[in-house]
Amino acid sequence: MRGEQVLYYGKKLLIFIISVWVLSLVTFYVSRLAPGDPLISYYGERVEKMSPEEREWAEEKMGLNEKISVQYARWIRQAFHGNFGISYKYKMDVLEVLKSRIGNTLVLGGIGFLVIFFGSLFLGVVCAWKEGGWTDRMICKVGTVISCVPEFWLALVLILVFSVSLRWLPSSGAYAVGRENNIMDRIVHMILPLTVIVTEHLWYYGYMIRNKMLDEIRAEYVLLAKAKGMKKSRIMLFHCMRNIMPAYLSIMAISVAHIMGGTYVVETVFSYPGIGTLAYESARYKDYNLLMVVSLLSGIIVIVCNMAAQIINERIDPRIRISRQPDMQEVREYE
Amino acid sequence: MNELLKAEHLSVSFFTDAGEVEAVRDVSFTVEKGEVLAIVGESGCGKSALCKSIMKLLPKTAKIKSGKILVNGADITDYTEKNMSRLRGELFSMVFQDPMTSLNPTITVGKQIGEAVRIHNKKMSRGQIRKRVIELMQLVEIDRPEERIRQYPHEFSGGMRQRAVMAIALAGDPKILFADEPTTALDVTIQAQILDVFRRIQKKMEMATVFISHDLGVVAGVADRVAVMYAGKIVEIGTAEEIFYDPRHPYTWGLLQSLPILAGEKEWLPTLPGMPPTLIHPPKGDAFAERNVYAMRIDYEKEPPMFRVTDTHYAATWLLDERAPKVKVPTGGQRDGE
Repeated sequence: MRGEQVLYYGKKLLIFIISVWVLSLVTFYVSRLAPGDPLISYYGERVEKMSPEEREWAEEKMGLNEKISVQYARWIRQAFHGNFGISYKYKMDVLEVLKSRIGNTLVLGGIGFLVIFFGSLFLGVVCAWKEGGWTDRMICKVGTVISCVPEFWLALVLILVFSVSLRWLPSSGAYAVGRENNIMDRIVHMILPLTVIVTEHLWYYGYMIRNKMLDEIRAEYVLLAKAKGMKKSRIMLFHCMRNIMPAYLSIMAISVAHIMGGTYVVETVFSYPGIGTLAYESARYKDYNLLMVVSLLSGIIVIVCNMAAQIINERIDPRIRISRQPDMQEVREYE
Repeated sequence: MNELLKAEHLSVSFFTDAGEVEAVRDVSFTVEKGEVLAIVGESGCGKSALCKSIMKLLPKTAKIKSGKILVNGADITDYTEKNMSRLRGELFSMVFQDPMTSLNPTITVGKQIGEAVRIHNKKMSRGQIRKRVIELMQLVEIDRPEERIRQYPHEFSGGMRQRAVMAIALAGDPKILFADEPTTALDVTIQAQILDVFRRIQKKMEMATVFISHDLGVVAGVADRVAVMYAGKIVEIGTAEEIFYDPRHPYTWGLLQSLPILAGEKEWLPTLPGMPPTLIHPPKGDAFAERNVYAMRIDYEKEPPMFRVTDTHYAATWLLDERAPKVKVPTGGQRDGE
């Protein structure tokens, strides 16, 4: 059993390492092959006045004149020593840049994720409970319409209404200048981005829950549970919800990537100082080192979440767990 | 009064997109204390719908159109879901056809039986519940219950699962047990075992049982009385003796004739030609007329009433009318020494 587990997690680790390596390779090559001038992000407008010699000197200094494969090898070597280079634009260690932004994204995305997680569970279960009733029909229709509205458009409309016309809420940033440590101010700044993230994803997952619950409610075991005198509420809570949990948890683990992507878009629209805006800027201005770190970080989150989904699944559902150990029970039965 | 359950002119319909499906049409029967009433008939004749409608386990599309369900003389026809959930498990309980799907795959068998125990004995402690679960598992003859209590349904074989389902059904000491084809999904040797267990428990607990089956051979071994259903109606009802040795309805004749064990040395196993009618628009007159070689003109025009044969034996066929011609019964009457 122990050896088996070591093997199991060993395999997962190997897959993880290979995935991250491939991701870094692809990002490295694609970013460098894409058109654009990385010198602009470092020197700004001065680049235009540079002579060819100066340019050459600058490229050599930044290590951009070599073949991509050589550059990549050097990047890997340094990365293993914890050195991911400096950001061209911010002129400081990329990890420092990342550190200053990651908190904002974690708070925004994390709260969004939690609201979506519990909100969609709640909506889905309510709809399944009232299947065919007006509550169900209303939520289904409104939910479908809202989740079809594009994120950036919804964000712009909200800014127009609540920031420009009503002037109730700020339109951008994570805090007002000079009020970095004011929690209320941060919350106020988060309302609009959070609204967009949640409304975009809530019903997508809520609808999944609803349908999964309906599948469970129609299962025969519900009939038996009813026949033994169990109340509908208990059956839904202790039988049906339990049975959809593995599927839901794995969907939600995968959804982290989905919601993270949404957060990036929303951050960009609201100029929210997080990883999303950073990713966008670094790709736009060819800030290679920063781009590498941001995409690796995002990639690792996605891979880890997917793996977590799989492990959760196998932990909760006894039928999946059993498939890993040969059918000992059955063997015993025939002894 | 020994009448535990009484259905009076019960009609149940499913309202589907294709139209109204009259699954149960004007069915009346009684179940007495401790007896086994078997309901036999082809697939889709309304056997299951009848039992599920009594326990109100049918989906929302099904409605009791008319008739009454009386339990110990009390009318439960209009009971709400809340009231029904109090009756279920204690007054009546049900064993379903497919043990592969009727247990929740993600909860241990012990816990599923325990749930049923707890519903009916809310004050029991964990230890008491466990003890009772093991008792129940012993009652349905699951071996090594202490070990099996922790196992999941997928670790149980089909026969064992059906025993577990029976244990769940028996947890509330029901007065009436509906067994909806409890052996149909099992293979033949397991069928025999389950039937044995079933009979033993039924005798021990003296519980009235409604046993649904399409297999007269199975029914012969368990039933005190038999009701034959066709196209949503009971066409013949009587004691097991009467149905097997003195059947009166041509449909019952057909069913008995097609039993391999009664076909004897014949080269061909007689079959009932044709299919049962759809219940969306049941035919006028006797629904069985089309497949009935003894059909008379009146069979196509008017539904036959229940004719009394004896006090316990009734059949709905115009052949029992005094004006009908006498026909030679092709089966039955094979009582020993006759």
